[in-house]
Amino acid sequence: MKAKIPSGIFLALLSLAGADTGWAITLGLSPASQTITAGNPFDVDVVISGLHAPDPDEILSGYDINISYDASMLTATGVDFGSFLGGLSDSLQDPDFTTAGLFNIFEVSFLSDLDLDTLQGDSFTLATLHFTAKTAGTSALTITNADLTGFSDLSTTFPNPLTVDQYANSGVTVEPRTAVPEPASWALMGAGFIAGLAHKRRQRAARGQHFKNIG
Amino acid sequence: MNNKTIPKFLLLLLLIITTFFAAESFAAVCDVDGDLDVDKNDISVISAARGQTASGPSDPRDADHNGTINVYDARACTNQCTLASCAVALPAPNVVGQTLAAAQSAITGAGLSVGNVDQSPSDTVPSGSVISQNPAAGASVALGSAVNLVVSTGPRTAVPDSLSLTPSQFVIGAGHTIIVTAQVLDNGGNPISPAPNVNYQVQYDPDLTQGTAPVVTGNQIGTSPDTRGSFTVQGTVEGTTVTSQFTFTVIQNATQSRNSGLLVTLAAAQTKLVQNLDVIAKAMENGDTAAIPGAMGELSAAAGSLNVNALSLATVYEPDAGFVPPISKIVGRYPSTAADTNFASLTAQVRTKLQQIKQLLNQPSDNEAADTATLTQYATDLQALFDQLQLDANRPGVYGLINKAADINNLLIKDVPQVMLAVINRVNVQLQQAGLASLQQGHPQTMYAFAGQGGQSPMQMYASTRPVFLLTGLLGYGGHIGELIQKIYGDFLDQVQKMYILLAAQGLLNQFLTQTAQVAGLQTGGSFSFHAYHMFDSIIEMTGLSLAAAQTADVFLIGGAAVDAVDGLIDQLKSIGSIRSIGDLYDFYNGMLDALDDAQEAYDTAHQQPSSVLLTGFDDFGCIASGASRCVELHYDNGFEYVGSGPVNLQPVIILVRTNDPLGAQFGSAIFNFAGQ
Repeated sequence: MKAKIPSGIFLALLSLAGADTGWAITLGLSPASQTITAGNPFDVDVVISGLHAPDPDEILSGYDINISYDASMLTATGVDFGSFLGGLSDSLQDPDFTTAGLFNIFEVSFLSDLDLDTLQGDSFTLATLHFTAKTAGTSALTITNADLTGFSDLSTTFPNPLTVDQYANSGVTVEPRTAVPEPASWALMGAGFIAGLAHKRRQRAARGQHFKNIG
Repeated sequence: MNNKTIPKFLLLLLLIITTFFAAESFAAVCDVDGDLDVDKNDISVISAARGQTASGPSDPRDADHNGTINVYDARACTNQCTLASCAVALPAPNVVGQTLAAAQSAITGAGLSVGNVDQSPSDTVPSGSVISQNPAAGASVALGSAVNLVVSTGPRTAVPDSLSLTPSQFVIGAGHTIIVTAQVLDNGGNPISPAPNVNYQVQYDPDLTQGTAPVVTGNQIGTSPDTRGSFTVQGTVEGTTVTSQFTFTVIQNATQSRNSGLLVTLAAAQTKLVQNLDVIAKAMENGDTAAIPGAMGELSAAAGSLNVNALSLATVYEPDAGFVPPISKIVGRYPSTAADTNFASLTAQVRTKLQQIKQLLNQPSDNEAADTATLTQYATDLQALFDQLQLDANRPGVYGLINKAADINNLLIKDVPQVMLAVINRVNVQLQQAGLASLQQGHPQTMYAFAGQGGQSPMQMYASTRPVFLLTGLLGYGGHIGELIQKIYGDFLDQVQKMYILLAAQGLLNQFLTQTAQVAGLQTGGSFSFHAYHMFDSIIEMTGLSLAAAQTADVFLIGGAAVDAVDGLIDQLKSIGSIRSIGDLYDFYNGMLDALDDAQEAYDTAHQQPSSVLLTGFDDFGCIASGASRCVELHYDNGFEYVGSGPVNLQPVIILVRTNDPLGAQFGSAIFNFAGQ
């Protein structure tokens, strides 16, 4: 109820030049890609990062996120929520993956902003989504909608939206189930493995050069 | 006649309530299941409805009233949860009258725990049985929470056990008298009636006081015009060793220092207002209208004793800490400590830093970015100094405080106002650059010139200029920095703060708000401010109120005229006791009608609706008062109608906004007056 007048004026003066903010809050799915054999389960983490990039820090106090996937290839089987919004005792967790092709996760914290600020770091895992690969092919995992709440306005208790600067989606390649290799084919596999390593090293070197150019 | 009287009387009651205080309401929003609390059951329902369209503006699931139920509503409602972790409430069992063992069993059986068990005598409850419980039976409590019990020790004994003393004032102007109210209590903490006599004695340290010692007459402690300092009154129940004591401070009287006099009046008025608001609230709850006129009379007297004009900006406030003993009387009695030395050094550094800030604000360079960086650094430095001052190692003792009393006074009455003036000036420049204010039409410095040096009167000032000014900082001129200073200088400043008229006024408002939070059903909030009248493009800025609520809200500006009208009616009401004839009765009713008409007129005038209501943000050059990211602005294109009392243009006013939005009942407001272009 108190008017916070002078602080407003004072803060206004302090920010005369405007702050050069390099906000970089990213909401992403991890790993970025993975290859699964049909019939096997696999997990995808929903991760937020960069909460401490803004000054002052941001927090995540609630979220409602939709992730789409190819229902012809994948089946959603469950979700484990993280503990950074308070866990089961201090948050409401309400997932919905009954609609094929859409995985909705919803969580709202019962903790105060201050407690969340203490609990949360720059990045953490919101939830781990469980899938089972059904048939071969490639499916994108895409965040199609994300409503995130951050700090609340002290006077109104209404939460402010937490703006995501960047989304990082994921994909999964499902390989057909294959027969157990014959002993004679082990040598061939070994050769392929070595070739794969060499390719990865070249990729890494190329990426390093790319970063260097940017910097 | 009665048909006309009763509704107006009720209207007036409402006016009185809204004049003196504002209320917070209880949240129906978020209480989706209507069980009078907000818990995880409610959040669960909101969560399940996410994505749906709200059923209407009163849909409790749509906390932000944007028409859609989503995670923002869920989070807004978790912020409103009644219990920690949004726990689901259980009703506390009724164990009053049960034996302690049975009560303990009932409590644990209900999923709760037994908290403190206190004992108290009772004439009606047998020894060993529960007299009372807290929380009360049926109250909503969280699973596992404690229920405190009071268990009877049997019939009470009317033997004095303790003494409670309540002085009429703790700070008093020299020459005035303190009246002490005593309660002699038995071993159960209950007053003994008839009360035994209490004898009083004044104790004091001659080195820490000055002038004629206070004199005891019965339960009155009289002071002389030359009395200064702190005195202790000890009361002893006659014929016993039961004693109690309190300390009071004598400062300059009003006839010598306007502000200490104001303070004395204000402190006394504040006490009376608080007491009588409570009486009225209870009477209204109980439907006991007989108790109301008396309490209203007291309220009127208390309000009447407040010099509202003197509380305006034009008041020259002169903090008066009463008698500060010379340091020579302290040396030897109170040793200087390392903390005293640290405090002195840090205080000097704070003063230097404030002066640097003032210098930078008054004489900025051409490089605004560099200035901003420097200012930010100064603010950081200042905060670091304040942080250090709060450490125990730097908290001064008596020696340190008295040794640096002059520095502290200068810091409060000179450095801080100067910095605030510099801030206001700088903001004014910013406003001018933004096209929000005119360069030619006055300057806030004009007011400060008056306030600080006895310049032209406000009337002359406003007659000759149409000043562009920000009134918003007024109550907070001790504000951001002032708050820090108070926080840091701690107990000593508690005394000085009482002299700080404007802050004291804010304290009064806070008391109103605290008290009125107990009156259910009123959805009114507001704040104390000052404003001028008939200034084009005046704005009330409000935080904590949604646009929808603001658009349908009733806005009242309660000023001196409303207080006068209430006074008039109460005076008339009080004359009912002197009716002795038909003629008297006739005169009484005529007087009542006149007073009611005046009250109605004051009420109508106070009700001032804005020309337009805007939702804006700090980034859009709005919300300047609060610095909030979003706020609502009530625009008055033609300024405010005069609701004051007396000839001073700039007057204190309580802004009240009544809204049907329960969540919107807690908000702050501030007034801007901009001169029209």
